[in-house]
Amino acid sequence: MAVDPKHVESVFHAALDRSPGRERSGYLDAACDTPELRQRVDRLLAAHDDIGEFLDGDPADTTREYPAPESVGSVVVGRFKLLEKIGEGGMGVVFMAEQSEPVRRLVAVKLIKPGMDSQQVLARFESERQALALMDHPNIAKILDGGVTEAGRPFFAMELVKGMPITQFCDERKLSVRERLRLMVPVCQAVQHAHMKGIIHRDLKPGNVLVALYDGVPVPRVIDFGVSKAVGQRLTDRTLFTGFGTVVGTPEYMAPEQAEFNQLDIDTRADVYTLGILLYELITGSPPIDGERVKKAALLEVLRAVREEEPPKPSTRLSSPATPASVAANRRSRQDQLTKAVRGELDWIVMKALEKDRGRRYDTAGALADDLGRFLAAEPVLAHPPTLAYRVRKFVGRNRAAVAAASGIAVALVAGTGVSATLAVRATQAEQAALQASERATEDREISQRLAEGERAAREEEKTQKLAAQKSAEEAKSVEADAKAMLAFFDKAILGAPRPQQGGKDVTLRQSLDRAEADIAKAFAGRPHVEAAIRERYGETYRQMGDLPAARRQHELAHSLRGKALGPDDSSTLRSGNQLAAVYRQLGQYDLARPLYEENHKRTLALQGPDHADTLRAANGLALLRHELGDNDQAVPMFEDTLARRRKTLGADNADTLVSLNNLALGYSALGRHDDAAKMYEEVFERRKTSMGADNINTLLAQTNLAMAYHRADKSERAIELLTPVVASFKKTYGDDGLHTLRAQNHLVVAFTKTDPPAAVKLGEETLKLRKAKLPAEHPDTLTSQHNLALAYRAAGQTVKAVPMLEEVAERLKKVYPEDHPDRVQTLGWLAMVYRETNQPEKADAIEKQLPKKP
Amino acid sequence: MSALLPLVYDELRRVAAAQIGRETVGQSLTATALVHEAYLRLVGDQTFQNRAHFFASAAEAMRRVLVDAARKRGRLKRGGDRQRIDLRHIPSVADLPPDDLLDLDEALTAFATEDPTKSELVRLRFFAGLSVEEAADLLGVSRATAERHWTYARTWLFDRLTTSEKKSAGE
Repeated sequence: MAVDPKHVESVFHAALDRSPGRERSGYLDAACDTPELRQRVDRLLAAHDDIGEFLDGDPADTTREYPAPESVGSVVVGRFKLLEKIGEGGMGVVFMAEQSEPVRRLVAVKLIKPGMDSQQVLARFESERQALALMDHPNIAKILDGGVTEAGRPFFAMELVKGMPITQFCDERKLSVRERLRLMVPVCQAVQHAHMKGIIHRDLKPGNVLVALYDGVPVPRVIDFGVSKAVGQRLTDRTLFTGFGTVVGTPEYMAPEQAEFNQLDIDTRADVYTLGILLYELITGSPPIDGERVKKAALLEVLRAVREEEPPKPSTRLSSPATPASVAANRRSRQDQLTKAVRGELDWIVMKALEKDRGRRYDTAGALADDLGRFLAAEPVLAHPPTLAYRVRKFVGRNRAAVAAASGIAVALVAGTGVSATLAVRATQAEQAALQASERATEDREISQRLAEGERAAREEEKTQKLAAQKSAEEAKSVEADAKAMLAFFDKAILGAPRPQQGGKDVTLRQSLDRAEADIAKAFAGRPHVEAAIRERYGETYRQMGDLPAARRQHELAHSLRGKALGPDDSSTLRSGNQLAAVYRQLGQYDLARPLYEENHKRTLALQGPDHADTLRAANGLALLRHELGDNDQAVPMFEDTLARRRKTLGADNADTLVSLNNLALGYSALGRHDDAAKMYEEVFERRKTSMGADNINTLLAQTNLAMAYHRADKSERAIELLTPVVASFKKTYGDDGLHTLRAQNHLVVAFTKTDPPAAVKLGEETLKLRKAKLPAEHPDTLTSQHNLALAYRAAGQTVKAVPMLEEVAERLKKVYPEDHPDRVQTLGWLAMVYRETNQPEKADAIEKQLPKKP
Repeated sequence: MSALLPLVYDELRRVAAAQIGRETVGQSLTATALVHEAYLRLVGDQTFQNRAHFFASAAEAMRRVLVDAARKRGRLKRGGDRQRIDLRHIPSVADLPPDDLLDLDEALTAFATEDPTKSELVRLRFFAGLSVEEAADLLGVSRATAERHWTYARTWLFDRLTTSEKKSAGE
């Protein structure tokens, strides 16, 4: 085998360069000086002929691997008969299909490309199904159904829209820029509607905005709402990458924050950005980042551009020599005319939607629609702040000839104080001059009309305001009556309580409160709002004093009062319900807390939208409940979402944002992500210390959590250092048996168990005694204390004592938590351990058999 | 490469273990995404030298991850007759059953002793998910040369794998 590989290779290539047959064999005869060489090259050439597509595919191309089992004619989940393929995209294939049940109709069925985790797609779809069902807008194609086909592919059925992508429609009909904008207004409004229902599209692009003619009128409809979320298009997912430089999904239609590799934080403003991209393309003929460039550049480079590159203004793009003449022609215009028409306000609108910093974008899709409307109505747009200087500049700019003719005007304008009146007068003059002067006459008249209209509108508004003032005077009277009733109550209940003839001079505030409580119903008869508000305060006070049953009663009364007076969907009823649910949760009454939390969250979301403080509070409560019930897979994404929205709407230092950060850390800890959690606890602690002071209860709670993070990281000494002052401070504020005191003390027991078991036993016994005196025996806190004390006994070498305690805890936990709750599993695990240590292996075996198998 | 490799390897192992272990289809899809994710985490926007360095390490790390997984699975499934597949219809490493992946790895090792440069090209393509052009850029050879290298390497491997197949089929 003395064949030189280099030689083989060069002969091989040379042979390949020659056509097969005589030319090639002639070459080989001449080039191969040994039979071995000839044999080797022949074999390679034969292999080359036979090689097929062996390992030559895109290394990660899946389309070939999975021939689609569903095709025209097949019936999906017994209901949708696929009639005709009508589209194909990165995510999958779309069929026109006939639905047989519950109604016979034509629908679009989108089959998601195989290779995704269909269970996850389905789970995410299910989680959005409720919200999707709430969407009802003429410009949104509804999602009708979703699931997994018999062959295991996720699918979505939606209203069939027989239209073409908005960009194509506009080009084919040669719509002018204004006509295009008019088409975009309802698109923005549709997106706004979805946002109000808590749905973000995440994948707006021309192919998802279809235009069809209804009675000769073009109607745009947005499709695929909810699909992108369900399919989970995230950069870290394989859904997006099919290989280096190839992306499923469409970076040219991505918001900068979607081009991040950690996309936890996507909100409605990502859709605002992509609406901006659509506008950009409708105006200039191509998206800010060109599809050509996406094809050529490396993926990372494209994503960087999406994140960082400021796109040229639409007018700049239009005036670029690279823009083909067809762009202007398709808009029934010339390049220079088109550039001029777009320059200025339209540039600003588009660029405001395309702000990289989403805080500077339009807040909502609705605001973008409004600004487009203003532009179309020739009103000043928001995209550029309508300062006096701006309006003057705009006006003067348009009437340069007139202004030059009467040079005094400009000065008067700038110096004018009664802005709109002055402008109105000047407008008439300007109009006359302009009429003679130039072709801009019509526009000028529009301006003066507009200003005159503005005057009228101002008068109208004045009238409305007068009415409102009358109304608020009436309201004020009723508020005054409420205040009087309240004052009377407080005078009797609190202020007058120490008067000898009432409560006696040594009465405590608590006694007065309790006594006055009996009078609330009578004192506020016919004023359910006031009564409810008072009871909510009472409830909050009782809750903070640790008297949860009393708190529960007050919140129950308040909630039912508000419900009766205002109905279940009123914001104050919902807030009240949320407080009640929190008390149930703290009482460990999860079967009461859960339905109330869920109901409240659903209603608040529908009423207030996803970013409202009430919605976020409800979401936080529900997530906390799920966390406490051990369902962290559900709780963590909710915490993440709530945190992102609070950061966005409230800022990073806000108290509620920090609550969310802390809760997310709790969730991460429960999922075993201790490092992530520790960092977050640290952040919460530091921020609270700075903004609230070191002695604030919330700072102290953060300190507790941080301490336990240290403990989990095997730094129990450090944990004890942090916890000791917290316990002392809580004792001062809440007493030796305060809820918070005992919680912190319980943590201290856990930390001591590791470093100083006898101290842990002593403290644990004390904690448990105080808790048993204060709380029901089956309260989660009591059981936790008991569990921890048992472990302290074990660590101190008194395992015999630990056994009956853990047995009791395990028994009681059955009544509190579902079977797979981590606390139950943990207690059973320890129980098995101490059985073994006390020579009772049969009992240990019996327990371990029931324990869920570790994955 | 030595300094970066353990880092890349750990990172990939960490994320890959769960996904690849589950025997989902399309594993190289995941693998490719993983490589890029790891790239962003570990290298970010660094210089070209680092890019080349990274992808070489990533390819090696991913090769190990895949080969380990294949060994484990191959072991689990041992016992039945080995089913032969038609290599002509296998466009991607992801489509290779565990045993064939191990064969390919062995063939690649043999090829590396004969021609290290071309085997590196193959490794970048198979295990780091690079296209021939991208691999060419990283290796500093012209694209035309890379294409020729690729053709030769593919043919060589195909010949080797099909020859051994015929042999073992005859046993």
